[in-house]
Amino acid sequence: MSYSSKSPWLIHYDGSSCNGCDIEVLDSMMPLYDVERFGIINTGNPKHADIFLITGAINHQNVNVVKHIYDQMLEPKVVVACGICACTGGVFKDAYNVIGGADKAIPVDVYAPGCAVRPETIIDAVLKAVKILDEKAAKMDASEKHR
Amino acid sequence: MYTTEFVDIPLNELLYRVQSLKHQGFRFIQMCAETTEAGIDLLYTFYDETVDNAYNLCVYGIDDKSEVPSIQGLYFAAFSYENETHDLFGVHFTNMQLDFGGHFFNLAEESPMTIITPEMKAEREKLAKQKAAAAAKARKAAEAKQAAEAEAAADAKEAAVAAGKSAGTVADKADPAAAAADAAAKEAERAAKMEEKLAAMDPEKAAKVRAALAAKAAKSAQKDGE
Amino acid sequence: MATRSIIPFGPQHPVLPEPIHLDLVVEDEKVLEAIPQIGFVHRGLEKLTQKRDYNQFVYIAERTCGICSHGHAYGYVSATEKLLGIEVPRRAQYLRDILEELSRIHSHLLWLGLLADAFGFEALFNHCWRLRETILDIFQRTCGGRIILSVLVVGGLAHDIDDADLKGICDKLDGIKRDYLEIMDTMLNDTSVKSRLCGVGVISFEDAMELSMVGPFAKGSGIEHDMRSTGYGAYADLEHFEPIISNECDCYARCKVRAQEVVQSIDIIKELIAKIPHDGVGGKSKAKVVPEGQSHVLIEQPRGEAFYYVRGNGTKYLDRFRLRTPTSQNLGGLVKALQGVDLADVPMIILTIDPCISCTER
Repeated sequence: MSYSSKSPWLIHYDGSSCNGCDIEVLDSMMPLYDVERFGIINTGNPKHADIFLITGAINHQNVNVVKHIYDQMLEPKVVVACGICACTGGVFKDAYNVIGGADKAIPVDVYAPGCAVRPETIIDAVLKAVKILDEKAAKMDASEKHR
Repeated sequence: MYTTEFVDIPLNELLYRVQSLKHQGFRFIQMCAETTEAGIDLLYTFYDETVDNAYNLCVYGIDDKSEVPSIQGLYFAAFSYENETHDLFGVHFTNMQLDFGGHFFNLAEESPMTIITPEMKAEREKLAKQKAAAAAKARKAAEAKQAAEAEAAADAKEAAVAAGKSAGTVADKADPAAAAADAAAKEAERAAKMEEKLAAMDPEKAAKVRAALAAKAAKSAQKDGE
Repeated sequence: MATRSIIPFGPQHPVLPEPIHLDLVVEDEKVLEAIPQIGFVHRGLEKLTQKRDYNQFVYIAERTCGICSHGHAYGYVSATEKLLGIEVPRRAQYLRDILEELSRIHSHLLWLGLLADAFGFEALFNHCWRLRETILDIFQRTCGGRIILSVLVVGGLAHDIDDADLKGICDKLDGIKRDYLEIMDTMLNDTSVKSRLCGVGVISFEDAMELSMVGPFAKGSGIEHDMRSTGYGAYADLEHFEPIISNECDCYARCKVRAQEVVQSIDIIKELIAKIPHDGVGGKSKAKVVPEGQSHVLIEQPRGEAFYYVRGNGTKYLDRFRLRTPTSQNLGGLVKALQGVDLADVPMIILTIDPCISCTER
């Protein structure tokens, strides 16, 4: 049985976001909104993290950085796309250097829309991600028993 | 409020102009490029703190063969703009102190800012058509006027009244004479400040700057004449 | 025997929420040279002027950056109005400047918090951000958004902020000021803070002039340059305005300038609210096309002077929109400030220029 859902750590990477969503992601960890009350800690190390919060669209320079961070994270892991740019590309969809949403680079589990995404939405998305994390952990356990 | 000034210069004068601005104590604000139908334009902006004037040097008609001298030796802050212009517009700079060799922005396509989007193209064509139509209309109107010249006496009277009216409204809106006087006063003030600066400089340099100023004045006078 | 090595810094680094990459050439623990590399956030939004008409582009300009969002919209609409020859009602100008000063307070509080975090003072970090929430509440109440306000249009404001709300802002600011002065006291007088900031990352007055630096980064080196003193918008009606400068030239000086600017901004807002005229706020420009020509404006943003340039070509699309942000101007200063410092001080020095990468790369 995995206990990571009791204290899921998260990592944040700013794709090509305008800062708005990044600040809101940080904001949701501040005392007012406080996702940390769910046992969450913001970490800078991908190998410590269970949930990957990505803000902003994917472009040609950061696509490999994002893939690299995702690959370093250990299973089970969940990706949350924060903000409309990370979901679809948003207002910058037509810009020449933007490929699209985060799902162009890595598999995304939860989409949290908004421009900029509100802290309440982030909290909802993270809680949803925790549920998915549990499901993934259970699946992993089952397949291990099966072996 | 600060004032704004745009000055067109040829490419080979660029370094010399920037150097004289640096000696006069101008602060470098920015450099940017833009794509036009005739090639790429470069715009250098400087700021004169003494009179609050933003001074712009425009260089026209850069293509992928022209070599633009780097101004990083004079204003190091230009390095990010020069590298950016190289990556986004494909302009070549020579003698860069900090040269990223085209890897400042890593892009999938080369010089994306030189491409004109289809939306823009359509809009420009529409504008050209409108202009052509307007020109044709004006021509027609002129012809019609010629034909009607015989009975124009009465019309002319009316037109004169109308013109008088419209002139009146123009005069209400802005007093061009006052504006011109204002501009002249500003120019005089600037010249006085310049003289002060020149007095402080060593004579050789002062002579050079004076010559440049005279050349500039002559040029603008010529333009006015045209 | 000292050996040279290159340490890569970023793009994903805990101290900065934004991606910037630096190659630090170090010899033992001393940094010899730092070469910045950007482009991770480049979207190419200046090009979008050719796909969105000049009224729609306000929203794109605003989304250049989530911290100085109002400032970017302000710069863009001012430059476009100049080109179109639109005279904006005074009330709209006052409200724009009030919102701009509120943005300055929230940006500086955010920065002070991040700085406290960079030298490991987490309580101070949380207090700064707690206070910042009150400013965001004001934005939410008066404009609707917390970060992206979307209240500006070419020609004025999308909607008015009524006098009752303005009075509410004044009352809230009084509360903020009381709390803030306590935080500022810790920020500027605490021994542990001082020992991390004083004498670190020095840029002399001469170097700052030479590198054409702007904003609090330059003001910390004694350069008395602030676009607000040229009196654009409603700043012309201020009784008295003097840029805040400091002559220590180190990280502490930059911190001091920003800390004091918050108090200054609070006073400016209160003065503007007391004087605000009632001549309407204008509305979206009805002009079908932007005439041929070019214009630019310079405004003072939280991070320093920003430059906006627009060029029209007779169609509804703009030929070119150029935005030069304070950070891109200060990159030269950053390279200079990092030469010869200890490796452990690098994150903090990078922070003291208050880098805003997403504006810089657009």
